[in-house]
Amino acid sequence: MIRLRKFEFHSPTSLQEAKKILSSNGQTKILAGGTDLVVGMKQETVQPKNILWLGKIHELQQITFSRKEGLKIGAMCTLSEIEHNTNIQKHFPSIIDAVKSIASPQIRNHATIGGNLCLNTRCFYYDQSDFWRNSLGNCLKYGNGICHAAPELSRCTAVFSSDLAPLLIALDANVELHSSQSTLKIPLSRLYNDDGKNHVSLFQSEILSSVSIPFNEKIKSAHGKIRARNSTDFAIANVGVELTFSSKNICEKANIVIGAISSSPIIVDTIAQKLIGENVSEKKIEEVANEISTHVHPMPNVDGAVNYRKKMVGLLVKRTLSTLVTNL
Amino acid sequence: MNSENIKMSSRFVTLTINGEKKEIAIEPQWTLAEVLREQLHLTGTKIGCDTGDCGACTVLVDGKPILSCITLAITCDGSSIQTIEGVAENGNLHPLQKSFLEHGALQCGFCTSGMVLSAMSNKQSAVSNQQIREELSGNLCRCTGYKKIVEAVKDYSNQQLAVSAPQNDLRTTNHESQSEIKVDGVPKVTGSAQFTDDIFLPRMLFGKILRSPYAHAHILSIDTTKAEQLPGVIAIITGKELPIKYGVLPSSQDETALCIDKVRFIGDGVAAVAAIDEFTAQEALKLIDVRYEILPAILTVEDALKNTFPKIHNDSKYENNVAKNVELEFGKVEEGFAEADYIREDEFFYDSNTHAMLEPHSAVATYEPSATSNNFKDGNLTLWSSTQTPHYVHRTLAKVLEMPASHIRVIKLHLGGGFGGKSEPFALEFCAAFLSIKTGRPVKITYTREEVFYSHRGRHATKMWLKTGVKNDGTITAIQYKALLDGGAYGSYGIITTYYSGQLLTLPYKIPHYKFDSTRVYTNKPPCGPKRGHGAVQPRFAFEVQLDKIAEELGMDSAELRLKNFVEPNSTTINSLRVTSCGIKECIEKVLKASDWKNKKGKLPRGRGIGIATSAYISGAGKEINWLGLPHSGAIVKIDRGGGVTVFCGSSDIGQGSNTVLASLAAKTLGVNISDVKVYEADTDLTPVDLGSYSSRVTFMAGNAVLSAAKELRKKIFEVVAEKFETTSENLLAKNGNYFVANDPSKNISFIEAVRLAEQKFGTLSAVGSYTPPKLGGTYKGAGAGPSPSYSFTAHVVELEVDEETGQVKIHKVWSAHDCGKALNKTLVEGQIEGSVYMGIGEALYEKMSYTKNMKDTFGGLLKSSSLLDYKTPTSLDTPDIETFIVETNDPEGPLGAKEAGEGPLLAVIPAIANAIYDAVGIRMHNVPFLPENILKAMEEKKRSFKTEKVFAEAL
Ligand SMILES: Cc1cc2nc3c(=O)[nH]c(=O)nc-3n(C[C@H](O)[C@H](O)[C@H](O)COP(=O)(O)OP(=O)(O)OC[C@H]3O[C@@H](n4cnc5c(N)ncnc54)[C@H](O)[C@@H]3O)c2cc1C
Ligand code: SF4
Ligand code: FES
Ligand code: FES
Repeated sequence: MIRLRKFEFHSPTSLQEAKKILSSNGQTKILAGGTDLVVGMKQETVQPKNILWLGKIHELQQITFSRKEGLKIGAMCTLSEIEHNTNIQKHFPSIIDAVKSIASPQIRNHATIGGNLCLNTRCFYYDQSDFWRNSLGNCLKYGNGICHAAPELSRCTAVFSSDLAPLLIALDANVELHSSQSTLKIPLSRLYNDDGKNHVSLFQSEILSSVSIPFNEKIKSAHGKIRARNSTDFAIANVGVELTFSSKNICEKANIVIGAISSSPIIVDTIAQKLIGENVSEKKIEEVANEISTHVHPMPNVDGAVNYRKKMVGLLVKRTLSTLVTNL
Repeated sequence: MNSENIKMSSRFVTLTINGEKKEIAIEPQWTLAEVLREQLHLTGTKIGCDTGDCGACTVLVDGKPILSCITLAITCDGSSIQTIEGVAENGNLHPLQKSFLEHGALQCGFCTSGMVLSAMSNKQSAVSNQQIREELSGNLCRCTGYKKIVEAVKDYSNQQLAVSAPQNDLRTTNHESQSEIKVDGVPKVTGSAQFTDDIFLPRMLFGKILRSPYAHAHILSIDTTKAEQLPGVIAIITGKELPIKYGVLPSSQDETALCIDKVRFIGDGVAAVAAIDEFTAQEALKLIDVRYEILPAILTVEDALKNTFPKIHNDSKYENNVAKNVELEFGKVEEGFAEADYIREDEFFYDSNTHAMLEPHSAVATYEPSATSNNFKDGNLTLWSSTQTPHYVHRTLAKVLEMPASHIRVIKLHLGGGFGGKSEPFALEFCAAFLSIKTGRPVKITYTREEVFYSHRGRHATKMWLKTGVKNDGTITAIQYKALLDGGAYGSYGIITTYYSGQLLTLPYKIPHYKFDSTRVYTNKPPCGPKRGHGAVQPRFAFEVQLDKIAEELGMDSAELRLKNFVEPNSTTINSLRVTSCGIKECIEKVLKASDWKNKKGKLPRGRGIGIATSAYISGAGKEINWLGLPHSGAIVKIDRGGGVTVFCGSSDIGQGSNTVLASLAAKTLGVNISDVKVYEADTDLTPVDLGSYSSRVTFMAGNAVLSAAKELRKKIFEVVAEKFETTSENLLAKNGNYFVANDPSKNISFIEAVRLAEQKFGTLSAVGSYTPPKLGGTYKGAGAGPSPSYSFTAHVVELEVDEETGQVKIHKVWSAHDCGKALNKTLVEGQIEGSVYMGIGEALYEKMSYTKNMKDTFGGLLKSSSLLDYKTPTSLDTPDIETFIVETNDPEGPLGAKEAGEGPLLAVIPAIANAIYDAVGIRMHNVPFLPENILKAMEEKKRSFKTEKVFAEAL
C-alpha cells in the first residue's frame, strides 16, 4: 500500500473554530470527503503539514429549499445526499444528472459538493506518482520545470474537472466564503481563475461553506458530459446550460458554461447571446455549437485527443440545447 | 518512523466494526484500509489500485459503500463499519453470498468483497439489470465479464422482495446447469480466503524496489549510504548481488533480479530496500543515489530495426535490436496464390494492452538458516507468491540464488487473477527472498498498481501485413503473413509469441499453402509477454477482418465464406497441427441462429451493425518449455479411511476454477461427492510438478494427471468390491459415495466400507498420475510451437451501435459459442467465455498502453496509462449482455472429453467488433483499439474519399 506522510489532524465542530485553526496554522489543507485530496497525498502532489477536516461541522451539512430563497447546499453535503434529495430531484433535475455523472457510486457516497467545487485541476503529467513525475521531470504546476503539455506556454493549463461547477455557474449559483476576517457571498463564476496551478481563488484561510442556487420556474437547464467509460471517468467534455423562455417559447436568457477544457469553466458569452430573442431552432443551435467548438482550445493533458475534445464540446452543446428545446 | 517532526501521533478512535464496538489507537495518516487490514486483520478488504479507481477496497461506513483506500480512518471515528467478514451472520452465509456462489459470480474472488458490499443495500423495489450495473459500476472485475455478478444480485434482490418465500439452503450444485459450486468459493465470499498480500508474519519487514526513471541508460554507480542511515531501514540490495541471468524460456536468459550495469525501461528494478514499515521503505528509495549515463531510447519497432541505435541486449545473436525471427513456409505459397481468383493484401496494427488483473503482484519470503553451516545456501527458504507458475519460480529462484531447489519452497495462495501476467518470475520474488535471507526476517513486497503496469508482460504491439488468396467460390488457396512484434525490454515468452503469431493462423480454416515471417524486436518499454490468447490474438484480428472484406468482394455472406473453409475433425493442418475433436461448425450455426444473422446482416438501420468472427486455440502446449521430456503435470490422490479424498497437484487455480475441476474429476472417478474432495495445489513441497496456469493447459493436463491417479485407485477399490460381490470390476458402478453392482444395485457398499476393504488388501490408498502429451507436430525447426493435444473452437456474433457523432461504440449483445470438448462444469466454462468476451471488448474499444514519445530534450518511454483510471478497463456499464453457448464435442484425449475454455473465446471478439462496426457505419478499422477519435477520423476519411470518388465519377 502507498503510505501517507504524517500530518496534524484537526476536526473542529464549528465554522468559528475551523476559521481559528486555519488562521493560526500554516500549510493547512481542508479535507472534505478526501476523494481528491487523499489521492493527491498518495501521489505526493500535496503534502500538507496540517489537515482540517470539516466533517464534524453540522452547519455545513444542510440542504434547504424554498421557492423564494432557492436552493442552498452546505459544502459538506455528499454527492449522494444531493442525488437523493427530493427537492433537488423535483426542482433541479439537471443537478441530479450532473451529480450522477461524477466518479463512481462509492466515491459519490463520500465526495462532497464543496470538494467538488474546489477540486484540483487535472493533467496526466501531474496526477501521477512521485516516481513518475520525477522520471519525466516535474512540471510548472509542481513548482519548477516546463509544462509538458504545452512547453511553449509559461503557465499551467491543467484542466478544470469539476462536473458540477459548469452547470451551477449556468444556474447563477453563489458561494459563501468564510475567513476569520469576513464572510462573503460571491458568484461561483468568480471563484475560478484560468490558471491550472492556482485555479480557485480562495485564501489559505478561507472555507467555502455553501452554494446557493436561485429558483425560477421559467428556467430550463441541462447538463451534458462525455467520458471514455460510463463510470468513474472524468469528462472528455462537459457542459452546463440554462435557458429562460418567455411564454411564447422565445429565449430570453442563455447561459452556456463549458468545463474540462481550460483551467477554469468557460462562460460562453457573446456566442450564447445569439440564442436570445429567438424561437430557438435546430439550425441556430448548430450554429452556436459550431462556433463554440472553434473557440475552445484544449491542451493535450487529459482523456481524449485535442481535436476530439474540441469536437465533442460542440456536439455536447448541440445535444444539450436540443434536448432542452425539444422538451419545451 | 517519520523523519519530520509532527507533534501529535496516535489517537484513539471508536469504531463499530461488524457490530463490535472497538476503541483503537490509530495515526491520522492511516487510511481505513490500512487500519482494517493491518490493525484489525480484516484482510477481506482488498487493495487493487490504492487510489480510488477499482472498488476492491469497498466497505460500508454507516451503511454506505465507500472506498477505504482513500478514506482516512480518523474521519470514521464514531462510525459503524461493515466489512466482508461481517456479512455472514452466526456462521450462515448471507443470501447475497449464497447467490454469488450459486451463480458462479466470482472467479479469482479479488473483487468479490467489494462487489458484495456494493450490492448489499436493501432492495425495496424490483431492480433492473441496468440499475444493478449502475450500483456496481465502481467495482472493476477483470474475470467475470460482470454477467454472473449481475445475475447473482438480481436473484438476491428478487429473493429479498419475496421475503415470504422459503429460504433456500445452499446447494452444492449450481441451479441452472447443475454445475458444482467452486470448491474455494466460500472463503472468497466471506473474505477469509488468504491472498499473498494478506500474510502478516511476526517481525515481517516491508520491501520496496527502486525503479529506473530512464528508458535506456548505463548505471554508473549506486550509492545507498544515505538510505542505509534512515532509521528503520534494515537491508538494501542491488543487482550486483544477484548477477545470474534468467528468463522463463531456456533460450532467452536475458533478465537479472535487479539491473546491474544497464536499465532497459522506465520501471526496471535497480535496488531493493527492506524496512520495518512500508513508509520507511518508500522514503528510503528516495535516498538511494543512482548515477546514470543516458542512452538513446528505442521506442518504435522501426528504430529497433535500425543499426544507428545501441543494442538493448549486447549478447543477442540477431542484428540491431531484433530479438527473434521466424520464417516458415508450408506447401508452396506462390503456387497457392497462382491458383487464386482473388487476392487481397492489407496492413493492420494491434496496439499493446495489459492484463490489469485486479490483484497486484505480491511475494512474501521467510528464511531459516542452516543448523550446521553459515552458508546461506544451506538454509531453507519459503516464498509465497502470487504466481501462475510456482514451478518456474521455484526453478528460477534456485538458479539465481544458487541454492538447491530442495531448500526452496514456493507456495501460491489464492490468486487474484493473472491472464498471463503472473506466469514467470518477477523482480519482487528474488528481492523478497534475498532480503529475507540477508535479514533473517520475513519480507513482504507487494507492487503498487503502477508497478504492476511496469511489470506488464502483456500483449505485443504488432504490425501486420496479410495476403490471402481465394477462389471465386471462396475456397482459401494460400495465406502469407508478416508480423513485426514490439517485445519491449526483455525476452519473457517472446520467442513463443513470435512463433504463435504465425503458427496458429492455420486454424480454424483449411489453408493449403502458408508462409509467414514473424519478427520480434526489443524496445525500451516494459516487456511484453503472454496475455490471454497469447500471440494468436493479433493475427486473428487481421485475418478475420480480411476475410470479411473478401466475402464482401466476392459477394458472399461472410458466415458462409467461413463455413466453406473450416477444418474438419481429425485432420492435420499444413503446418502439422493435429486436430482431434472440432465443433466449429456447430459453434457458428449456434451464433448465427441465436443472433438472427440472416435478417440482420446488412439490414440493420444505419449506425447499428452486426459482425462475425471465429477462432481456434490450443489446450496447452504440446512441448514443455524445457524440452526435457518430463511430464507436464503430476498429481497424487490419497484416500483417507474416513472417506475423504485429497488431491495434491502443482497446478495453480488463478480464479479460473481449476481446483474445482480437479476435485470434480476425482469425485466423479471415485464416485464420491465433490464436498468430500479437497485439493492442495501449487506448493512445491507438497505437490507434484505442474507447469502452471498458462496456455490453457490445466484442465487438460492436470485434469488428465488427476484422472489417471484417481482411476488407479478406483481400479483397486473395484477389485475388492468385485471380490465381495463375486463379480468382476466391469459390472460395478461408483456413484454418490456408493459402490454397487450395475444390474443389481441392492448389492452395494458405501465408499468408506469399500475403502476399508481396499486398505486391508493393498495398504494405504494413494496413487500418482501424470500427463505427458503425445508426440505431436512436424519435424521442421520450430515445429514445437503450436502443436497442442487438442484445440478449442469459438464463434462470436456481435451486435453494436456506433454513435456517429462521438465515435463511441455501444455493444448491445455478444453471442458466443465455444467448443470446449466436454464441459466439466458449465458455470465455470460460461464464466471463462464471458470473461474472455469482456476482456476482448476491453482490448477492442478501451485499453491501450501508451507511452511518452522521444522529444527534443527528453527521452520518452514513460507509461502514460499507469493507473486504473488512465488505463481503461470496461466497467459493468460498458460490458454488454453476453449469451453463451457451450458446444460439446467430447475430445478423445481430454479428461472426460474436456478441452480448453479460458483463452480461446477472447480471440474472435476483436475482429467481430471490427466487422460489426463496418456493418454499422461502413468503415474498416485496421488499428486496435478502436478509440472513438479513431472511429470519427476513419469516418471522415471515408466521407472525404467518397467525395473525391464522386467528383471523379462526375468528371468521367
Ligand atoms: C477515480 C475518481 C474518479 C473521479 N471522477 C470524477 C468525475 O467524474 N467528476 C468530478 O467532478 N470529480 C471526479 N472525481 C473527483 C472527486 O472525487 C470529486 O470531485 C469530489 O466531489 C471531491 O470532493 P471531496 O469532498 O472528496 O473533496 P476533497 O478531496 O476533500 O477536497 C478536494 C479539494 O477541495 C478542497 N476543499 C474541500 N472542501 C472545501 C471547502 N469546503 N472549502 C474550501 N476548500 C475545500 C480541499 O482542500 C481539496 O483541495 C473523481 C475522483 C476519483 C478518485
Ligand atoms: S498543464 Fe503543464 S504545468 Fe500544468 S500540470 Fe500539466 S504539465 Fe504541469
Ligand atoms: S483499492 Fe481502493 S479503489 Fe482500488
Ligand atoms: S472475480 Fe472479479 S476480479 Fe477476479
